[in-house]
Amino acid sequence: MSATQTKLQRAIVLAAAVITIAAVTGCHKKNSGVNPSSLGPTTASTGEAPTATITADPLTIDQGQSVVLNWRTQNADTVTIDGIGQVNANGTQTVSPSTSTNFHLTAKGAGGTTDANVRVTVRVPEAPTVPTNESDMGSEEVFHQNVKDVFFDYDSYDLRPDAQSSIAQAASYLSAHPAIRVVIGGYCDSRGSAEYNLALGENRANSARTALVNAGVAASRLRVISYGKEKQFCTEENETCWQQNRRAQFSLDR
Amino acid sequence: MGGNLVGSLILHGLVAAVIFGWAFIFRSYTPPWGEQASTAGAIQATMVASLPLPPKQRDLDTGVLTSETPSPAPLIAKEKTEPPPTPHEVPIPTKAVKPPKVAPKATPQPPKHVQPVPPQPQKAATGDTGGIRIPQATMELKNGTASMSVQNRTFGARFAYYVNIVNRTVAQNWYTQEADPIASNGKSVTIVFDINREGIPSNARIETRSGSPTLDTSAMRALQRVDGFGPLPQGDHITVEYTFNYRRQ
Amino acid sequence: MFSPVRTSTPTPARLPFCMAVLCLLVLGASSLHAQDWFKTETSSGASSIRIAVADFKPLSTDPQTAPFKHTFDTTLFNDLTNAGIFDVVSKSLQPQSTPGAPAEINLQQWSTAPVSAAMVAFGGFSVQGGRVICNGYLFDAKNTQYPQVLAKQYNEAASEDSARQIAHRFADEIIFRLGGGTPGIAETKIYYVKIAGGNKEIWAMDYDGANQHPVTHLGTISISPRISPDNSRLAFSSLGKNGFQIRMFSLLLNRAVNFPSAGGTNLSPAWSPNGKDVAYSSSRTGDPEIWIADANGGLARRITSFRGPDVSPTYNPKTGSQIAWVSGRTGLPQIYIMDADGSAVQRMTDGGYASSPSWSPNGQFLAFAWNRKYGPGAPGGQDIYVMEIATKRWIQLTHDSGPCDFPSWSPDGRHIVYANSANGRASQTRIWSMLADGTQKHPLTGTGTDMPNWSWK
Repeated sequence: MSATQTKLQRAIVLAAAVITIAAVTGCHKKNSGVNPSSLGPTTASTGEAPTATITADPLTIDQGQSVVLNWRTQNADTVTIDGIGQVNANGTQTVSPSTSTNFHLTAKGAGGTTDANVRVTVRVPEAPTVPTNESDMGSEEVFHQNVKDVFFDYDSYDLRPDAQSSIAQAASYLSAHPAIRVVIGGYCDSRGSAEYNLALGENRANSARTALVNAGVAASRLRVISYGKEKQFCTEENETCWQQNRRAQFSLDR
Repeated sequence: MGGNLVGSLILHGLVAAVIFGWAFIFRSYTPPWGEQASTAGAIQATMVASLPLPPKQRDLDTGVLTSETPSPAPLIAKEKTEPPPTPHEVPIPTKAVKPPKVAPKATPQPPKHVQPVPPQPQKAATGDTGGIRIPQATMELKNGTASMSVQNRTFGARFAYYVNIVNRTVAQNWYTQEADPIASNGKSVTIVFDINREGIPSNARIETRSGSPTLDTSAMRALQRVDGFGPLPQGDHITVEYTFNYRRQ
Repeated sequence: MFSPVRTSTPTPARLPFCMAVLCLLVLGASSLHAQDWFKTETSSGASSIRIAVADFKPLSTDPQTAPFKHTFDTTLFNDLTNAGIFDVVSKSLQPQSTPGAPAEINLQQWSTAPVSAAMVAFGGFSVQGGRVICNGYLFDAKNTQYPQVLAKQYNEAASEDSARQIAHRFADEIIFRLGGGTPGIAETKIYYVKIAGGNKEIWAMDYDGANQHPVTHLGTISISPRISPDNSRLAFSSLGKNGFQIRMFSLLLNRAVNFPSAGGTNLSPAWSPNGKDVAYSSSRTGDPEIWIADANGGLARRITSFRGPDVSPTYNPKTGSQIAWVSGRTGLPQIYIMDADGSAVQRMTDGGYASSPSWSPNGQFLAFAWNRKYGPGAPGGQDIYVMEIATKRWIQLTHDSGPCDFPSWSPDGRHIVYANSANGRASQTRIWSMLADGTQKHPLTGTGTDMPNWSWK
């Protein structure tokens, strides 16, 4: 045998051995990755932290109405809601709180504990407040004794002299009782057109209002409504009754 | 000369006495016009425009507004204004019955109420005497006749009712008092106009003059007052010849 | 013209003679009395169309046919009579025949005396399988060669109301065809105020008073109903906690739609003819003035600034560029007109107490309520007047029947509807309808109704 033939055979065997070893080691590298299908369900056994969310619909209710709570959790195996107890990982529940409540959800898992909150507001009707002496407007009788209605001539909304003195007296009474608010109604007699009489009644009430404002009463305490000939104080067809109806009337604006 | 003066004085005194005496005697019988509440607001109207109603028939005698001048004032008032202009005409016996009609020429407001009312026969509302039976193309009016023809003869035969509507509408809008009665009496004017698909007249022109300018103008004005006749039952447009024959009744 | 025959110097004998004749004339004339109401005569004498309305022929044996046909016949007859442009042949004069089809009619019968009709409306009416089927014809009785003017067929679900509506539609067709192109009003509606106890609600009815029914149920005082030009919305003014406010009601949705409230008293809405703007009276600035807003209530702008109440606007329905309204700037309310931007103010009435203007559809007339003698010690009557805008000449349409108010024109300009109270009391008010010349007055409702508004179409 020659030396080259021997070298060639050694090279071939060496190459085959290297190739065989390389093939074996190459496969080994792939197998080092984690096969996801070989893993079980993602329970705490893997060690991930749980997540939780809770919502309520609607967020504001009146007393006596119901609210639907809706929550979702992940990676948790024990889920509890304060006031309800243990619940499923995902679910809904209808509740009827009587007062505003904060719903607190706790989700416990192998990876830790997390919680979520939602606040439901319940509108409770307010109890009427007892009026104190400060805001007391007084009785109707006392009011009407001191604040008299103002009367007008036909088709007129100018204040007559007798009306001027009524206004002055009313203004002083209202200044002495700053809590009183007044609604001024404008009225007309039954003759004439309904539409025009509403506008005239408005002018009459405004005329009285302007006079009171000029006499020192704050404008924000005075409100004006016109009734025209829609509401009447008497129904006879004579001048006495018509005069009774042509007025600006003062009332307590409760 | 003295005789003239005395005569004149006597007559003036007589006239004054009559006027004052009449006013004094008759004043209490009739309420002063326009002041009594129940009759306040008596009518004061000589409307130029017309309510879109046909003129009322003779049988209706409640207050009616026609397409022409309703009575502007009760008769008494008109009588009062007559004395001043009439002395010049009174000497002619024939004119003695005319003043109520002639006076309107002096004043700008012609009341049509006076003469026509009495002579009209009282026709029952339900047509006991029947409607006015007239040939389709000619319409008999108070102060004359109006006739029309459509240049398209088949249209006129097929849609005679539409021809009738055109005739009637124009006739109702013809204010005969706009024509001078003396100059127009017995005369005729022919106007020609087109009507489009929607029934709106246009292009009115006088084809045959009558010789009385007031009659011609009254005819043209009659057509101007018409807004429309209603849509044509067929076709795009028709041309109409309309003749007004004025004849005082 | 006449030519007075007079010599240059009339002899003394002539003068006394002429004056004597004159005196006689004057004395004679005194026997004539002032007439309360003008009696006029037709100017031209052109007659109205004489139309005969035959009873329709029943074409089926269904038991429902007879009552529905009766409703149909009566409604058709009334519609044509109410139209104001026909001379309708009285039923007693008609021949007994009821032609149901063109082949069955004998025109000779209808065109000769005593009927003497120029037009005949006839046809067949049947109820089959729950549907009303009606064939209507209008024939020209004088044109024997080509008599047919109209041929219509109607097919609706069977009911009393549909029989009425079919009659209305047929009548409108006839009126449109024979009335010079103006549509008939048989299908229009009237909106009005109904007084119920202490409240006022808005109701609606057909133009002849049929089918009265409520629209609002607000339990308060609602007045001044105004329907929009396209019949979709109803504007009115209603008393709320803060006074009267303009409210908008949708007839398509059958509920209220939004219209912003404003301070003060807001009254008397009025639609512009294009349906885009609403004019009304508002006292949000303290004094009632005329404001214009768009149909939803936005873009409100003031267009008057007179001291004194300004109320009851109404648009010119032909042009939409003018507004008539009532103003008390000089004392008693008077009617004014102005352009829609507030310029060119013009006073129309010269005294008395004038209110509630309504503008005629052809733009030429104003109808309104007027009391020419108003005030203590001089009680007068409030009546409906029509004034021609161009010349300010007017005519009184009602008299001696108690206070009348709130006239409203029909869309054909031939009719006016109004409210009248025989003894002056609000509870006795009813709604009446008349032709625009004051004739053919008849009531449409019982007592307790007010403020009518006629629809635009």
